[in-house]
Amino acid sequence: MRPVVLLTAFAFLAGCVGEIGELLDRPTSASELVCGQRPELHRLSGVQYRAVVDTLLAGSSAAATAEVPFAQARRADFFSTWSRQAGIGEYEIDEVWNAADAVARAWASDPGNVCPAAERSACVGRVWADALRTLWSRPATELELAEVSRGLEDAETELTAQEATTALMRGALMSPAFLFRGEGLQGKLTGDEIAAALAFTLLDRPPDDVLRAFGATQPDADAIRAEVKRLLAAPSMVPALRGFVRELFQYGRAVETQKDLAAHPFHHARELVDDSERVIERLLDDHATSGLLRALLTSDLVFVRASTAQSWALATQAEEGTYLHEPSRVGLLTHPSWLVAMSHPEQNHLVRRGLFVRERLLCGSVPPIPGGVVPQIPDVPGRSLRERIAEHSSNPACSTCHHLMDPLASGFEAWDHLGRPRTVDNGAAVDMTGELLGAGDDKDGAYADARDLMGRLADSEVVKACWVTQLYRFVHGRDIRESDQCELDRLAALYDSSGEDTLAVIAEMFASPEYLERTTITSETNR
Amino acid sequence: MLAPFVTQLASTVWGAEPMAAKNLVLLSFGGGLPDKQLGWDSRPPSDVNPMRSFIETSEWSYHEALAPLAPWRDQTAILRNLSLNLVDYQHSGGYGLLGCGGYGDSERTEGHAPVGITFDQLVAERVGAQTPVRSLLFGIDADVNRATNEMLFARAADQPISYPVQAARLFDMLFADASVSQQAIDRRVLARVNADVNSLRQRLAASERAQLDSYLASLDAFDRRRSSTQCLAPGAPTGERGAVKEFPVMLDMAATALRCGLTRVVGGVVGGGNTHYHFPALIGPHIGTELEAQGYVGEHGHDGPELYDSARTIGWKWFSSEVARFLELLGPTLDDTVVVVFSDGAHAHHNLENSNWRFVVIAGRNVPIRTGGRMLSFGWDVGWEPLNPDSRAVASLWVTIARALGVSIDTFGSELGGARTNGPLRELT
Repeated sequence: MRPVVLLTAFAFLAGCVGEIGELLDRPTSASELVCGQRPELHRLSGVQYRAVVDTLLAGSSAAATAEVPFAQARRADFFSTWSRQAGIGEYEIDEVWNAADAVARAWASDPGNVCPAAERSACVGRVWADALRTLWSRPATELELAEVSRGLEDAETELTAQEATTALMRGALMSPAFLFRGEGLQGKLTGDEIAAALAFTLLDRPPDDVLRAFGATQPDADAIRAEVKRLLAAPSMVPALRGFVRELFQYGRAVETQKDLAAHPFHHARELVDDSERVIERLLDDHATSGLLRALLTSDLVFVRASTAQSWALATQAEEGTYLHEPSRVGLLTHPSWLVAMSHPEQNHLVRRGLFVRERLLCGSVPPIPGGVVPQIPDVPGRSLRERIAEHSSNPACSTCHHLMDPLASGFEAWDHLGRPRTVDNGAAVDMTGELLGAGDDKDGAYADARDLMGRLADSEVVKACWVTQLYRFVHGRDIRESDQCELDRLAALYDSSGEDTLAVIAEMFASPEYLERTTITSETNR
Repeated sequence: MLAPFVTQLASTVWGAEPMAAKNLVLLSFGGGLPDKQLGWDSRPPSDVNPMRSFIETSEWSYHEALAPLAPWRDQTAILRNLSLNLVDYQHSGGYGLLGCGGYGDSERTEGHAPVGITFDQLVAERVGAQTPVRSLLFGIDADVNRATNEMLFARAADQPISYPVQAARLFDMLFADASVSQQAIDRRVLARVNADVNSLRQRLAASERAQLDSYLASLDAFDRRRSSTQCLAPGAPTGERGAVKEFPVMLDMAATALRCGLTRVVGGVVGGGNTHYHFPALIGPHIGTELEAQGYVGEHGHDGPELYDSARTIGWKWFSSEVARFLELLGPTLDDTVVVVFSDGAHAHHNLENSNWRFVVIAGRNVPIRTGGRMLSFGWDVGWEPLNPDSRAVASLWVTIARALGVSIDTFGSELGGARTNGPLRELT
């Protein structure tokens, strides 16, 4: 029996031999305003796990078929990136193990990855060094590679060379250094940590050779800003930017909203979502450095194809689709995809739309529905939706919350639950007027229609600051903490002074002193 | 290898409670059955509070939706109108049902995180800590790759549990076979990984350790599971997907796991809220087609159309049949088991006035819970009225069952919500 020997054989798998220094707690007094970011671990997402495996098994058919862990979305997450805060639960550990086993077997099945005893050191220095750099997003140390050589030697006293290779690689794929990406574990971010953060956060993949070389230079803030701008040079191709807009605006939910297709055969939810994605691609490329939010909220650019023309109430025979400027539409919130996503099966969902504007554009909040209240709208022929929910404003028990939502959404009554323009609702004339509240004194007040509403939202300092906050929550994969406030204030000011440059704000998120120099903050809570 | 340990466990945990139950099973079906459909709506409605007083009766009959459970009538208690005050409740009690506090599943733009531990996990912490599988949770939905109501179980505040939604995955988890030599190698890998995680953990401040703590706990659970005495596995899943194909297989595995001591806590879920309407394979193509033709899809499903009653009956009849088969599979293990059958969507799919929660409790012969075929209808606890002395809370049911399992607690639930009463249900003891 050689358990002790074999145990030491896996010692290198920590991925932290001599790499992670002691982190000193730096407690602060409760009365002191604390600004800064803490050291963080980011668990891989399913997409990122697959990207690493694809790199590790480059060229192997096993890469495409390997099942990866962490694919299931967590419902409580505001953005999908928040899953980075997750640990590994008892029902996920099997997936992690099975994936590690499958990937390790596939990797070890390549004879080139099995290092024979005769040339062990040179082979490990070539094959394992490359593999571990892929898994850990940093180079393995000489000490670690020596541990690999010794581990293989020990394991091969009991196993075949291929089995020993599989066993060691399985351990590497279970190691915390692979499954959790660290940021600032030694206080100051290392160049490798910066390169990994940029690659995984913006591109959902491990660093490539260019980023690795960048990390090796121990870049300063200016170099980081420049590198972020290089990575974001084609904004519509950047997964993080597309994902942020998709998740913030939630238009993709159109495919989950049930509609009676027998009664509305022209309704094609997936194509409507794709229509919006096409527009977003254009807006990202044209406005990422100047007024992206404004464009998303006010642009009249639409993409329409034959199968969605009826939803847009536009005439086109172009199956492949075409871009148009349609003056009646005012930004993403007037696209059929968003209007459907924020609708009931058979009518508009005024409250959900208002809640969206309140929470996602104004960063406000609405108290939860009181226990026992069942939201149901009376079905009264000849009365519009607004008339049927009049109790929301007339009953004080309802209006306390509903005045924060309903008036923000009445502008969207100009379209029906399928996204088509309309002037009549359930036999009554549509009333598109409403009231904006919470967008700043100079923007609040009665509005005439959706165009008026969206214009004011786009100009609102509150909405711009909220855009920066939402971007921060997405990029950092977590909710805002009290200690983020200084950084948020600075980023909001930068957004304003830079001519609404979203990319500059993202670059600054990675280049700020708070990001690059982590502190351990002991007394604070999430907002 | 395991025997001395089990003996020690028995003397410390079970020794003090000679009549304690050993196993807990929670089984939920999305979409509750309204009282009136079951023929149990015996009291006239009023504008204020029609269900004011407590009524106990043994004179009740099984509706065909629950008829498969009739053979266990003597071991059954039907509990009606238990109260649970959840904020933001729409179609499912969410974490709040088993956690007794916080939020239900709502229509808000994102889900809510749990505010505390759920009852099943509290029990699992105490009685399941040393079993190979601390708690066995699983579920299946119309969308076979997603658990609509994954928001039912939580290890702690902000720590929801995503359970397996594929029978094949559950099978691999419980019954994966490995050679003895392979297991030995695996254990060394796991030991090394465990050491690595611990090493990294010690270099982090307390606030950053939570993610690694969960990984450590999972590694430990995984190791115990793999090194436990293997049960005789039931038939492996065929790979066919869907609730009708997969949930019965999952129940087979759960019964096996309980019988051979792999676990003591089981939670099984089909759908969530009113999602049983979305199971065409279950409710039949005829009803499914007609419902869709009438536009009764998606968010609909309120009391009313006869088709809904039919869909509910068909769905629950299937579910009850599966529960009955599960009870038979348990064999003598049922004697030491308490099984709770319920809907996460309350008695219908809206928790009207907080007091619509119904539970079917089936207790084995050695379980110190008084069942005897009784139906206990409690008075409603309506939040805006003075506390009704005849009302009882869902939390009280969980306290009662916990005590029956030897877990000594006096109250349960979060300070952030829950019911206005708590403590054990004297009517069941």
